[in-house]
Amino acid sequence: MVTPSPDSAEPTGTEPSVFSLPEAGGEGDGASVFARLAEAFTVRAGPGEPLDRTLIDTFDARLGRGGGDLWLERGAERSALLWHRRGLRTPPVPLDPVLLDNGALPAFAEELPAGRLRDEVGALAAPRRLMPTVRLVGQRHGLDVLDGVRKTVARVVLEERVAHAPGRRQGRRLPPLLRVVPIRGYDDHRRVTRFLVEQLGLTPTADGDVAAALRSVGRQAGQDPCTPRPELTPEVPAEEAVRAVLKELLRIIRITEDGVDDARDIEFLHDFRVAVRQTRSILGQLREVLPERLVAHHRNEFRWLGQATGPARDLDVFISDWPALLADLGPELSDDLAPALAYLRRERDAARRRVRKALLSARYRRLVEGWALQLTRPVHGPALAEVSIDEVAARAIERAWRRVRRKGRRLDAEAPIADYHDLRIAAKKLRYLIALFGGVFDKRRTKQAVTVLKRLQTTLGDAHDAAQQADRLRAVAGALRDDRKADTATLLAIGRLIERIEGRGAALQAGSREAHEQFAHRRNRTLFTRR
Amino acid sequence: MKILATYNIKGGVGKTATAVNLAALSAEGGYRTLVWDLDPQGAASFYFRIRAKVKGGAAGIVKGRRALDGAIRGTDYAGLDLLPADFRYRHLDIALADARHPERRRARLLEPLADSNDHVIHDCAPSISRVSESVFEAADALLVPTIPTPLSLRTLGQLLKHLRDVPNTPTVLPFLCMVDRRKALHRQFCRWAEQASVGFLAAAIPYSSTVERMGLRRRPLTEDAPRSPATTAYRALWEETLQRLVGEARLGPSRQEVKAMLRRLERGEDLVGEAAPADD
Ligand SMILES: Nc1ncnc2c1ncn2[C@@H]1O[C@H](COP(=O)(O)OP(=O)(O)OP(=O)(O)O)[C@@H](O)[C@H]1O
Ligand SMILES: [Mg+2]
Repeated sequence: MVTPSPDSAEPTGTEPSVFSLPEAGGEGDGASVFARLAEAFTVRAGPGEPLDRTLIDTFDARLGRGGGDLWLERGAERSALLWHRRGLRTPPVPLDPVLLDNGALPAFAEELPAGRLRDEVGALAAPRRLMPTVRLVGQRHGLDVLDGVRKTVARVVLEERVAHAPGRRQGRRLPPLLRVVPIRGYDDHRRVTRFLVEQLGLTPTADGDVAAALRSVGRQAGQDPCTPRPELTPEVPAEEAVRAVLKELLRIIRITEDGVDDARDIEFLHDFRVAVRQTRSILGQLREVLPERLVAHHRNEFRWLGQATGPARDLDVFISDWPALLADLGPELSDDLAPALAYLRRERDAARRRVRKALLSARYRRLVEGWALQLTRPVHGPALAEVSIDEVAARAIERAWRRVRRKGRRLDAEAPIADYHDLRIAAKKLRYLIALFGGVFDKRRTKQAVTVLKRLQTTLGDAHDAAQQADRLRAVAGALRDDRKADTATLLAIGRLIERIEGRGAALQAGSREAHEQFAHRRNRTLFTRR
Repeated sequence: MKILATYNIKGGVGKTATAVNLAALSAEGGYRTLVWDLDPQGAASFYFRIRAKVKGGAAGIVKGRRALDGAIRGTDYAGLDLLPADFRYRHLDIALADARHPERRRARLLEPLADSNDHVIHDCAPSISRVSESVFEAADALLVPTIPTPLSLRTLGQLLKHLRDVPNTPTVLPFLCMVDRRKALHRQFCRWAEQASVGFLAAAIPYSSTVERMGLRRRPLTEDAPRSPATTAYRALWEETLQRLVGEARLGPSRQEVKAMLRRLERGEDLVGEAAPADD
């Protein structure tokens, strides 16, 4: 049956058409609002129907941040995906019920049924995995507002929902939501909304379905949970601020650790590693505000964790770059290079096994649990801990900035790759400080500083990847030759690829020197210093 | 986006009933569907209880793309919209004639809809006009409801002949409509159509008071009588149509095929007419 759906059209923009109602039974509840509407308009009440919909997004909320919501609606007869972005809603895209019965959601955008939904979701979500974020279960009641020939010209929908975090039985009841849904080509929804506001005294809520549902599972709409968000003000004592940031980083480590094992969505491991590296970098750069014994041991442990996870990440990147590296080399060459790619994949799998082992180890458990404890325990640090964070952070940023300038000036056409590596690390340290503590400074200045620095970091990063990939390919060639797994064609092809990568690398090094010149320009000075 | 039309030179053969019911089935299958009511009588709009007028009339539609968008009305069913008939559609004929490539105009008009629609189903008026020409040019397939009488075969032949001169011929999908199994002539006709290789779809719509009642109920059959035999028949027709729409190219018959079909149709006219025993 063609079921009337409240989603056939959607209010656009900021139209005040969503209302939060008291629980059923309370004064002014959904039933009483429906009764009042029935007195004022010609209406037809639909049968109540069960509601079961799951909000789907990537772990880092790419869809939500891109302004879209993807819902999976489960119905008694069929299930469908709904995509809504910037006022445009696709009609339900039915999903294969057999798939769903087995609990298999399309895990990646490319597995979705072809069409506009897949195109738009793919553009935002790729390459990340799609996963359930929050599930709403409850009842939906519809009331159609009719015109003189009993054509539906607006729709009122009441939804009573309980929100569940994925896999949880226990849920949280959300306040019932009343929505006025326009029908395309009619503007009767305006009359209905006016009635609700003026006659029933309802106040529209800005809070849509998504925001309330996400909040109930501890998430904020449109926010990447992997971005540290410490609550900092300039006058917070430095030690407290640093602890707040470190706690945030530990939170990210803990929420991403389960995904680190995901070989198809490689961004979990990446986010995990960024948080680890940032932790280590803060422990180094701001050690003066923390107690010595807190710093030394944990710096060492986080270095271990960084090293244990590094090769897997490098290989992830190499393998996902592979098609681009081979682009316009021709199909024969790509065939010749197949053994090299297979070798890289085996290395990656081995590296990932080592990551898993590290994360399952007692050493890791001790590190994260001990660290959590340390961060909450109030230890009075050195005298500097009494200074406010803006002082300390500004000083550290300036120090880091000077280091980047110094190291960059050393570079010339003859400089060894190690010098670029040094500069890259210095730039990263500076970036971490700005990313983690920039919030206490002028927003515009911080943003500009990031832009300027990012340019330098991008070329340096690419130059580094190129150098590393060329080295790795040499090692791969050696191993394949020793194992007699490669014929001449393969070895020659690897040689050509190395040549090409190194050619690019040389250009990137020159580009890095130029980028550094730009970065170190006098006009940027005030972005990183207080003078 | 696939573009369909229900078409027959003859009137009152079930074009509108077919357009409305297939559109509902399309939307029910999750396809974003638009019915374009091209008949100035506005029967399809009537079935969906839509009485809106198109702002700026036909001239507005031919010129602007946005005008089209603003004229679209949501039906009572999810994923199903309608571009209503307007009295001024009389002028669409003239407006299309004014446009430089009148036939290609429709395809261009439809382009911006491709983003938001999977199927567009035109409900045509029973005539050959500029409007229908533009539909022939843009459509992937024409669904041709055909009443089982010898005369209908002549009309079908006329359409095929006419389409020979249309560049980029759409697929022609004739199907039997208003079939009354109690009538010997109808039975005879159905038997002939099955093996005559003139392109009749296997699905046939029975003569049914449920369909007639749509004019009173003003709802598609999927809503009004989801399990009735007529609904089942439309469902089969829709599924068959979907299968024929798979693939990108428009697979209209070649000139040779048309010639052969015409010959067979002519023979059919005689055969069906003569061989049919009188009703009991
Ligand atoms: N299968 C059917 N059984 C019985 N009556 C039918 C059937 N199909 C259509 N009708 C009736 O026949 C009449 C004509 O049908 P319809 O309007 O669909 O034809 P049409 O080809 O669109 O007509 P027009 O040429 O006037 O646009 C209507 O009253 C309709 O209810
Ligand atoms: Mg008609």
